[in-house]
Amino acid sequence: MRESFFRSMTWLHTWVGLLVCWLLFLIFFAGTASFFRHEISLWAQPATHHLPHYDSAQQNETVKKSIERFQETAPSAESWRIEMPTERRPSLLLMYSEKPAEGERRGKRHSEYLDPVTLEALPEFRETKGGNFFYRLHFDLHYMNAITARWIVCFATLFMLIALISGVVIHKRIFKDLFQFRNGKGLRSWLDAHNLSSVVALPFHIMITYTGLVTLIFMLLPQPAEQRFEDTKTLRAERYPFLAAIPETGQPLKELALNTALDHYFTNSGDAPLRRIVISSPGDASATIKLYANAQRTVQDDPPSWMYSAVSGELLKTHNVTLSGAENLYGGMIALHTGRLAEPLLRWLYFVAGLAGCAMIATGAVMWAKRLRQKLKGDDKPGVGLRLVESLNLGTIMGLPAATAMFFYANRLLPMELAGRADKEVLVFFVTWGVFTLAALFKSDRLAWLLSAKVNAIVWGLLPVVNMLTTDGSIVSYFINGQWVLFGFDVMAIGIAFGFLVQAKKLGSTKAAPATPRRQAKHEVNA
Amino acid sequence: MEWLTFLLCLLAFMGFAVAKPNHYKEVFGTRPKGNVTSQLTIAGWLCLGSSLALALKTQGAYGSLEFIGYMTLAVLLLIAIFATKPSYFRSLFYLVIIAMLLSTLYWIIF
Repeated sequence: MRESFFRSMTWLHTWVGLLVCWLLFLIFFAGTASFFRHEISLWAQPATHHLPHYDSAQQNETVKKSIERFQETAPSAESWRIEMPTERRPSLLLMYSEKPAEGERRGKRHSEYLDPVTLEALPEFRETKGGNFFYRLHFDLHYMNAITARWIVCFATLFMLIALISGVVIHKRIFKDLFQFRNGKGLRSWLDAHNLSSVVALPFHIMITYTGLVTLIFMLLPQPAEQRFEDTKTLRAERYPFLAAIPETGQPLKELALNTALDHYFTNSGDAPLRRIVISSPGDASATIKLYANAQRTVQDDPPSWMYSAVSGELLKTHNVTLSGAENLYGGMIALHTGRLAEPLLRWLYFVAGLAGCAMIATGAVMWAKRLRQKLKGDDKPGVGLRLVESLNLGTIMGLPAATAMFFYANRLLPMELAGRADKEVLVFFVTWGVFTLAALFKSDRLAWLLSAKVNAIVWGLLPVVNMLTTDGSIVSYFINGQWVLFGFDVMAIGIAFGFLVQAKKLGSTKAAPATPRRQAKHEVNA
Repeated sequence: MEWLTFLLCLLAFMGFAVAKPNHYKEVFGTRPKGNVTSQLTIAGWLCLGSSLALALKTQGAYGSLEFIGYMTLAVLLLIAIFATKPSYFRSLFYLVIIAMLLSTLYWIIF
């Protein structure tokens, strides 16, 4: 009974893991990069590099100036939206939507990024997706319908959860050998690396996988909500009370009661700075002012928000200010997943744990192929399955980092006036990844790994140099001026290049790792 | 305060590590005698508990997230030491104790 239980768990872990490992690697990789979404966006937008640190004491003034600007540029818009600068996003974002034309659901949207103090447009603002690309890639994938993509991601996540649980069962020595890494012992080392990368961040892996499912729970398991609500409309109305449309009166609005609303907000929101301001139907007497707080370190993803009448400044509704138990639990889990609450230290810890997740998936995938290859006898030719797995391993594990580097090169090197520039950057990413995978289909031996490691080391190592040549900053000036995010980006690039260099050195050393005897390999399956 | 939380967490995992006979031997050269192993394990759990308590007391729910990250960091550090130079373990131990004293002093004074 016991034996067959472990055998079936091993089978489950191996096949469930293998089936989705490349997709999971992509999801984990993109997710890990997304923890630094705004930092990547900052790097990708040199126009914002010289914006000074924003002092939230200036908020009142910034809001008023922004409203004045809107009143001049878009007095008859359907809505105005102000995204306040934060620690991580130094520019001020002003957006407005025009009233929808007849027969259309939504009006045209306009957005501009400004200097938050002078409210002047940022010069040489480039069209780029920056960190948002990785954020979307994490759950919407690319080149496909977002809903289909989310279903695919959902199933991959379910498989991940199964692989995690069965993994804890079959690798029963993971806690016993918690600190054990035997270097240079062939398959044994790969197993150690797989076990270690999973166990060092096991609480994170389980949390991130489970809460990942929770983020898509209304899609994956809609029945409870369907029981409680008549249709998705009523559900949305309760979840997002501010979305309910208020009919326009046709009477012009004399004066926006912004001061009253802001006074009420600043007395009632604690010390939370403003994150977003939305003014709907700004020219009409039905106008409302919505103020969203920056939740900062609270373990809640949706910020508390207040909605006021723009005529009298009277409070109309609040949202997420007092939470029910269920809302607290749901919002808390989403907050744990997205990590928006994390300040730099915790953000780095999230990042390290995410990297451990990537390593866990990569080592698992490589181990499957290595184990099968070891079982081949002298003249046996590897089967199609093994060759395919080996190629996909190489193409994905080494291709994605290189594609990411090329995405950053495209950001710096593509001409500014290129039409559809942001999409061309993404194209460079996928073309690089495609080239790696195609090449890996032809050749995926040690030499191919060595070559990819070298290519990765070169592209990552040269990234700070290209940055220096194409912008007015460099790793030295970032250090001197205390621009730590940009400095950190360059250091990361050099660190990654160094990592690939070490890998290349190891792969290039003539002394191949000693093969593990077959009997031992069999024993390891149950280890 | 965050330093003290991390150091306590690291100390806890150092205890768990040397509670394993093979790592004990790598560090001290002999096999653990008597009930040293269980004493180290208990000490480890006590440190880990205090680290979590401290994280929760000073930072609330946010602290518990940091605590999980600290565990990852602590184990990674120890794996690196045991995979390269186990003899550094002792130096790390003294370093952790001194750093803990300093951060406690800092906490009391400021």
